[in-house]
Amino acid sequence: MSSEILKPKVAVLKAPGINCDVETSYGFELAGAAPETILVEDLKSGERKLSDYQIVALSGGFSYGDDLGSGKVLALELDTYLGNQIQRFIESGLMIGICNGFQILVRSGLLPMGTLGEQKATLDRNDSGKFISRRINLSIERDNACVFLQDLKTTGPVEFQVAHGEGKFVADSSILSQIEESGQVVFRYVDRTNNPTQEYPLNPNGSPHAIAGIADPSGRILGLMPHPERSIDRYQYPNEDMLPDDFVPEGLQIFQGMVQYAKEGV
Amino acid sequence: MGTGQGAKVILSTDVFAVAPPDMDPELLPPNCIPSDILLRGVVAGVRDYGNPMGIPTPNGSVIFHEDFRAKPTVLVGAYGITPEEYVTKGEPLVGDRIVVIGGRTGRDGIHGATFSSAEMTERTATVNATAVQIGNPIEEKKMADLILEARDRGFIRAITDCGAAGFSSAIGEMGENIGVRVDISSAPLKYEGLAPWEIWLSESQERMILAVSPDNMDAFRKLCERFSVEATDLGYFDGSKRLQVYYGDEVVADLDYEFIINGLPQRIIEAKFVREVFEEPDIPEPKDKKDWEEVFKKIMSHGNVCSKLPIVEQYDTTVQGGNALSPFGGINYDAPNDATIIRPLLNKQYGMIVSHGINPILNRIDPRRGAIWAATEAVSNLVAAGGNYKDMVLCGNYISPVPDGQYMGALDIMVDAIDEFEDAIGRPVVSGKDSLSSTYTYRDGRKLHVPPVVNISTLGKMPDVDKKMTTGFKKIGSTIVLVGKMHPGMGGSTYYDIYGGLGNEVPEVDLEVLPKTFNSVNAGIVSRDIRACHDVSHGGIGGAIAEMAFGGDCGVELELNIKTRPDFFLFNETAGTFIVEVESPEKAQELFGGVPHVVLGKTTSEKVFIVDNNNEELFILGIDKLKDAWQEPMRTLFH
Repeated sequence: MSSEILKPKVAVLKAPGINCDVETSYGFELAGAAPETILVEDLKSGERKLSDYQIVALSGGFSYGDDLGSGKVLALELDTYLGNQIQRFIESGLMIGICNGFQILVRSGLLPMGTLGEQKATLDRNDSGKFISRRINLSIERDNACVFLQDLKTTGPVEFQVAHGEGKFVADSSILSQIEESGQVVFRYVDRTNNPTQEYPLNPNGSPHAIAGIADPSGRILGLMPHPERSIDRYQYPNEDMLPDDFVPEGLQIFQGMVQYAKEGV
Repeated sequence: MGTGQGAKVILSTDVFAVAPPDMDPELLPPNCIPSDILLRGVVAGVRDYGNPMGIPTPNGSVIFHEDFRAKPTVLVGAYGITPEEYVTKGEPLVGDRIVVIGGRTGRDGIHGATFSSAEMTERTATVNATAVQIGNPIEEKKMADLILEARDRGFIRAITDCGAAGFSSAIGEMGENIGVRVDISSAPLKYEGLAPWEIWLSESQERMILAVSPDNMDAFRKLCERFSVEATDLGYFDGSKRLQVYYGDEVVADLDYEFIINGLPQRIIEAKFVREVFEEPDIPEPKDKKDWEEVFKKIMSHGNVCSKLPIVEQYDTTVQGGNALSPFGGINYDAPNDATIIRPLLNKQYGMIVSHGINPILNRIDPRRGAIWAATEAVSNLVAAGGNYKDMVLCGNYISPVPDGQYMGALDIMVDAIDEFEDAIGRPVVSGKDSLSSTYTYRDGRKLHVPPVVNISTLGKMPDVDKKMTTGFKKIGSTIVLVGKMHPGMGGSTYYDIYGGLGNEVPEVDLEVLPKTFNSVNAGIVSRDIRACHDVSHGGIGGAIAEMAFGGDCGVELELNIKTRPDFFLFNETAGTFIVEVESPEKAQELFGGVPHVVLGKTTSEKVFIVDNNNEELFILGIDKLKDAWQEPMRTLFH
């Protein structure tokens, strides 16, 4: 029972059109957390509250159909209805946004600058103009600002799945240089030799600086286009037979990092 | 979603048959959509519905033939999962409320089923435009989430989706044993102005009918609000054994169920298949390397053989996280696998495997051999990917041009052939569907018929997904073996098609040998003695070996000893034969001693495809040249 108490609680948010909540929850479960799927409606009605959780996860999907731009409606909801709760939560809690979740965080302003309600960047339509689903390689930046990835053994290349139509990170040059200097860029699309690339489809959306994922200045909020929950067990790797026996799936390491940090932070 | 008492959709599949994009535009019948636009549109449809719904689409194929230029075949399948206690269909009780949930009712989709089951003419595109439903995947996704929650709370006594004929069939079917009283004026509409019959027949998507106990209605309504799903009470099951439809106080239908169920007289259809004789193409035997390069590249770039990665890549094939065998693998993630495997329950080691087989043109020549070819191909795909055919069921989908004469005869023969196949392997067909109207009528009365279509799909259980098998070669110096009984027939093959001929001799699958072949391949995969495996289908033996080399990023050297024409060997497409990679010829003998097999050659590090026959070199060809020819068609179409 004591181990149950020690498990960090994760709120995996769910709204119409979110569709990766089950596997994201499973990733947290494998990493030793206690995830719960929480309807945004229940947060709005006050039936649930974010302060009961140490981690908030926004998973992939097409929230509200992405009809006003990917993640826009849910971003507005977070700001309008849950603004105070979120402001309080991010003072100590951890947050991850994956794919549509990353789009929501960027449109809400939480990424890249932690400014809820003030959008400083966007995730634009892929240069190819198409939705793309495939395995890609990422590097993990040395000395990045993300507080819960500090113990990660590897700097890449790590193998993740991308599945998105709007993943090109766009911001003006001052924001770009700011996040580069402060180590907020965490993941980049790379070639086999772990060098950042603009080449399609290795860089699936044409993101400048090959940016695939970023953290906020506090390092407690992480957003990325690729799906770590699709690299949490070896079966998900197309070339599983080439993996070493002691392989720890790379997406799982991200969930483990979050859970470990949340435990120590308690 | 409406199966049993509600199910979670965990996988969808898409199989299309369309005209070749490079078809002479003059051949396109009036008011039909050119094939390239049509295929891009159909792919966009699957993508823009499946991806937002969060359902992976990791299995499918595209078949090209000119006779699909008016009416394409689009077979989209769905696989679901539900706890055993909810598997059987629920029975509504007298007094249960009839509730419609999900999207609103509009004029879209009126007569959708009748339109798609009628012959098509140049007027179809304008007259029947409103028969096509307008989809809204997010509405469907909200409803899907709600249904699972409502099911687990015991709110769903019975559930049926509003498919063909909308409310009339969904509500009508649910009430057949007890009777129905509904007021359709309360149905939420997309806009005002629908006549009662339009509301009753509309096939607008994203609507389900539920039978809910009156005691649960309040709690059910609250749940719907939390999931942002509209729910409307239309009436109740009233015990009258009549179907009574009101629009406010006005009775718009009042029918006895006895009449609805038994009132339609049985139709008698004449069926008589007369075998046609087709021209045998005159194919020159390739003389030199140049000839071989030309034909091999034509095979690899043929629509039925070429890489479909630019299509598959647009589908979210890995959402839900259960993917254990993706549609494409290999060192560069671009070599096709034969089936797909998923783990619907993420914390379990077991999974399910899905594959299919289809080759319509064979059925035009020889419906029996063609149908058996399709079924064999489906099961071979499953076996090649590590599945065991003894732990599998089948699904059959038939599409025929007209329910009469020659085509009804062909359909009858195909169904008998599938029956023969079921007996041979001892596994059943448990699901399926048919459509018997794929005909276009020209203004002058001429008819354009599609070839008779049968698509067989498989659903198998993988006790351990770790026993999956991929197609890419794994090691250099391995032995390449052809396993299974090859039949010399080339009728309907890709090779004949590139010379514009059909031929008459469709390869016949030996149903005695087939289960033995399956068993030996399965045993070799389970023991891991087989390192890579690919079944032979479109593109033949040569095409299969080339794709395996793409996956391994390596080359091959084949040493054949055949007395017949080597081109008819390399491009033979007998279903139920496999190319496997094993350690040595001795290992091949050990694994396949009881079944026909022949050692073809070995894998090499140099990326070339070398073939010698009777110690004489036939050709040497760069793997990348073949790969480029194989990737080019769909890359161009979906640039």
